[in-house]
Amino acid sequence: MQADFLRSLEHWKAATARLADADYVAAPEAWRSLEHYLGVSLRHALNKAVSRVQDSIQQLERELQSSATQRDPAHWQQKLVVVRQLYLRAETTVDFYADCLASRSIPRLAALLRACDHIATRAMAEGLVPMGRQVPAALTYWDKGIGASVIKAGLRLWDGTIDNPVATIKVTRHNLVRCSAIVHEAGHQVMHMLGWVPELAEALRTQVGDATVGALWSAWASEVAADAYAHVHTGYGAAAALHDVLDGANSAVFAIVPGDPHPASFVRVLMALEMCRHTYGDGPWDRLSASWIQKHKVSAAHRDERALFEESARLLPRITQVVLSTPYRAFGNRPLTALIDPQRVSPRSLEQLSRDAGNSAFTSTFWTWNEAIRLLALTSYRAGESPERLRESIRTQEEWMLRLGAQRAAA
Amino acid sequence: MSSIVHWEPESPFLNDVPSAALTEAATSHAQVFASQAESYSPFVTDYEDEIGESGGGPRAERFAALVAELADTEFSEALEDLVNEATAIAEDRYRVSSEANESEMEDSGAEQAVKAYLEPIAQAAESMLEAMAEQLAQVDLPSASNSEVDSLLEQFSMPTHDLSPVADQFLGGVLKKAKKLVKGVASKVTSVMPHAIIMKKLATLVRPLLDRVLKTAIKRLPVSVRPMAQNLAKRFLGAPLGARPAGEASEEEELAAVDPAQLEEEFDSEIAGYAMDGESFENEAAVEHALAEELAPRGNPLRNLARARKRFARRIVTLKPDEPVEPVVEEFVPAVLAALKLGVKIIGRPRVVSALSGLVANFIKRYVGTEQARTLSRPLVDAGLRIVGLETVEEREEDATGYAIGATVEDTVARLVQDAPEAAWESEPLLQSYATEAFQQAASAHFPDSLIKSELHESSNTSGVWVGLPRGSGHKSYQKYSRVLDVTLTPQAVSSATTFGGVSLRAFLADRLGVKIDRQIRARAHLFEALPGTTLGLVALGEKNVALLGTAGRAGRSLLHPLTPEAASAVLGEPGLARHVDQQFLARRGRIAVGQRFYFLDVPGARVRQARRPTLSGMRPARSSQPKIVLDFPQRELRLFLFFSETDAQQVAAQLRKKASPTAVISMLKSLHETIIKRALSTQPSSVVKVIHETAPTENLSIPIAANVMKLAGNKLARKLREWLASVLSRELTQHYDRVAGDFISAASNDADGVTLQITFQAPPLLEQIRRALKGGLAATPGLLSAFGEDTLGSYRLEMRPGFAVK
Repeated sequence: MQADFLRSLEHWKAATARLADADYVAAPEAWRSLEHYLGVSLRHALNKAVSRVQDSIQQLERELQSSATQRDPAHWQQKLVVVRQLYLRAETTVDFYADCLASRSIPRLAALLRACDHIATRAMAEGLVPMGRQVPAALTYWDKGIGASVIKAGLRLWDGTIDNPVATIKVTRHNLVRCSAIVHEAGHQVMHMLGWVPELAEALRTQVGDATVGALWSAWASEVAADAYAHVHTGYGAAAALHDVLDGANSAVFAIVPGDPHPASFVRVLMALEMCRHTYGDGPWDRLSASWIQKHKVSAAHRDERALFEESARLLPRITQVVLSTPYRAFGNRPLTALIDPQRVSPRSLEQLSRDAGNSAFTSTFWTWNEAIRLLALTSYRAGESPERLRESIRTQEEWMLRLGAQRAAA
Repeated sequence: MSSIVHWEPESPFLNDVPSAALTEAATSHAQVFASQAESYSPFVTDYEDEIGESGGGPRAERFAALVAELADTEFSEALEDLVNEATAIAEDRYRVSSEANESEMEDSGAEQAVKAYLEPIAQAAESMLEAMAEQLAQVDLPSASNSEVDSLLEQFSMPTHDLSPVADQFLGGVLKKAKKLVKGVASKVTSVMPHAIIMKKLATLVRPLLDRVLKTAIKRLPVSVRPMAQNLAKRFLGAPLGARPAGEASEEEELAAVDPAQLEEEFDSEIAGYAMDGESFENEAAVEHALAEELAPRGNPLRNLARARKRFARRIVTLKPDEPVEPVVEEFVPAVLAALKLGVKIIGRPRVVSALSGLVANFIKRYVGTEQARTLSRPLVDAGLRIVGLETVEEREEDATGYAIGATVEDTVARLVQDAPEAAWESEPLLQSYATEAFQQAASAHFPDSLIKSELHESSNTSGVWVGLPRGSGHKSYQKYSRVLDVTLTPQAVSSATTFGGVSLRAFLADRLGVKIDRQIRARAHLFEALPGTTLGLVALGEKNVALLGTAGRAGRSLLHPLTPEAASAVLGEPGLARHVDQQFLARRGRIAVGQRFYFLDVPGARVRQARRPTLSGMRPARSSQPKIVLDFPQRELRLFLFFSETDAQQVAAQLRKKASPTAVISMLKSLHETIIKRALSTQPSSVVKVIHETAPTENLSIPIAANVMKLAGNKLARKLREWLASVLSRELTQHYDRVAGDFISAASNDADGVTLQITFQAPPLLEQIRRALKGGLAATPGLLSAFGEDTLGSYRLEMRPGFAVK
């Protein structure tokens, strides 16, 4: 009986050994495309996850070999099941990073993702450095789907013992070069570190002037915070991109899913556009807002929720005020807009940027490196103007992101 | 000498008790000095001031001009990167096997690994150059026009290969140099040799160059290869080179590792010599190489030191109370001396070595043995040893004490040979005095402040120790301060601190990391110190757990800055953590001194910005703005290169696009370079000034000449250059604003890194006065100084190019 257990254990031992081998996780080119430190951090985290499984296998092996008397098979079976579970958890962790790294073995894609890494890191630095906080490394990867997502650095991974060493951001295939969503995801990391969300949730619950609407928006605070972070960095570009992503069927646009931290798309898009109005006054967002309301009539919402949508829409100026202009302890008793000035990406500022940089805007390493987020704001803004500008913006954006990816090439 | 009987070294430690044994030992070595003083000095005779005795003449000028033509920044960088990559391969082997006892296998393993890396590079370079030689043999180059030569050269290209990016850059650099050789021979010299033969010779020189790369990587090349380049040039120049101004330190400085630039100089001198004199030069060069080989140290002093460290660390903490410490020290000190260039000069005097060992033994004897090791180990661990040793093998706490005492001995000896004047080796009281000072400083560096008198503490707000890394083995690549310091970077601090080449830290952070310090930013500073054999690539390679470091590549090592007293004050607020070094070690990262300290700033969110190389493949870290002044005597030109970093170039371009006033633009252009020009011409000739002179064919050899020029007239030349620069900019921007603005904007729009503005001042009379002053010494100085007053802006040429085009 013990021999059978030992044989089973041998199977898991061999499997774990493969799990620990970096060459089975990703191609050498993929590892090379990472910044050295990022690679070291990842390997360290993966090794830690796998070591835990290996330790438990060795422990059980020793017990089986040293056990002089026959024990109840259920005892060993239970221990074997624990090993299997540990293996599967570690495998989930390894598999996740293997998927993240897979796209890095395609050189062109690796360059674009390095550019996304850069944008994410800069976006996090804008909020964290003034607050005296360390900036975590960012690893972006692409995947299918409509929306981006993030696994925040510092959170426990699947095996329950190791912390995610980097902010891991999913960029969707359709939005790889219209990537203002990265800034939204970077915002999640920043707000997690600065502790803004609980404060914002409380402010929304108590300050919007309607208890029901306040409670609803309070539950959406984490996503509202990230949208606000995208707004102060990329202005109208973020709103236009969000509009394009969420512009689906009415059933989705008006869906309020209990427990979902995302605001219902109908009011979320309107909030993003209202933020532009709040910050910049009149502009192209007004037309987009009107068009959105026309396309998605509140009458299409569930009858029980229509009033909630109408009231939320009415209160959006106040909600925006609470989000953008209220001082918070997380920002040193300043509003978000004092931490990161959204006027840097106002239409006027973006035009000024375009004039200052001239032909060099998308070719100079200075502009693409230092002003990556404002250039993203500029191209996203232009993309929001017309189909032709959108087409042109995507082309420009891809070109300069490839350059940026080369600048950030692993040394 | 009787007074020394009562000498007692002042201990740096608290609660120190004078020991009778200490004075006895000092006495026993007393007469060594008296007897040796009359007959032997540990130092070679100082260089004589040879200004006025140099050879010169048209032949020397042609040689100097050809060597200057061959020198190439991209080749230099590629060679430096190759040396670093090869060193990383060797280091990997040393680290893996450092705990093994098969030391011979350990050494040969590293050598074999580096050879295996370099061999395909050598083969690719040889076949590329041989193919070029064959093609050149088909054409009549001497009668070809410039454009025909250019179109021929365009046909030459790199062979396809699957080597590393660094190897690819090196091959590209070799190709570039080969093309320069063809053009240089065509335009600069009347060669006795056909081009094809010269190219074949170049092909044969690549392998010896790579052999020197190998020896550099495995630390088998002596740190000073300067005499070789010097000796090769002697044939043409007629007189020894390298005269330094009297009193200026040069030989007393201890180079930590071979400067890769010296390998290129030797390579260039050899090919230029062959191009000019053919086989007769070749024969002479063969003799020089044989002599150099003969004089090279036998064995591998650095590997021996690694083994000696380990033995010392083990033995010193296991000594029994009645066991003498002297034999342990006497075995260790010669190994330390042998690894130091200056130490080698002392090691030939056994009695002096014995005396030195005796002094050192006295210093440490009360801190050795098992009991002491246990007592000392706790404060060492508390000082942060675990922090710096995370990534390495575990080491017993007693071993930590052993290595700390060993490091103190090593540091004492290194400081002594660097700082003690010649007279100190002739007089025991003086040597005792210097040795005491060296020991106090060394002990303060390697033991926690809790054990050291407060007036000797290196820092006021932190208590760390300098620890050799990797820990747990005798193989040490560098030292690290056990505390990582939290610092606040202010705009004022980063503006006043400078990094290599005199570039301000503020500009560096903006250009290379994209970090604009316009408000206070918190960062963390890691501090390092060079040991014999240390390169900045090894420091960066060793720091696996520090973001942005962890590889020997250019990007990582380019983030290490010299920890000068000024930088330590401004950035760390701890001036005592700095070590002063000669200016020559602040010029570039390839040339550093034993004991020199460095810092790395971990700035939140910062990443290295890479930029396209000017002509070779691949990327390199973006550069900062820097001027370069070339005094080209053979061409009768003074060339001023102003390289504008991408950051600065775009800001200037933005002003020009806005049609800013000429005054505003002039002010901006000038301000970006004036400080460095001013500072460079008075203190840092080696980084910014290049002299092409018949007595100074290579950049390293031009340093002493440049120093002479600057000593004679540095400030005046700086003022004159700034005056001319202002005049040129004013004239061009007031008379031809649109053209200048258009040229600059066009260059800035190119995706190359930055913009280079070149102003060539043609035959300025003061250049001739400088030449005379260099030949005539002090007698010609009044003429030179008056020339500065009279010389007005003559004819000049203004050119703008995208990217880094400083030659």
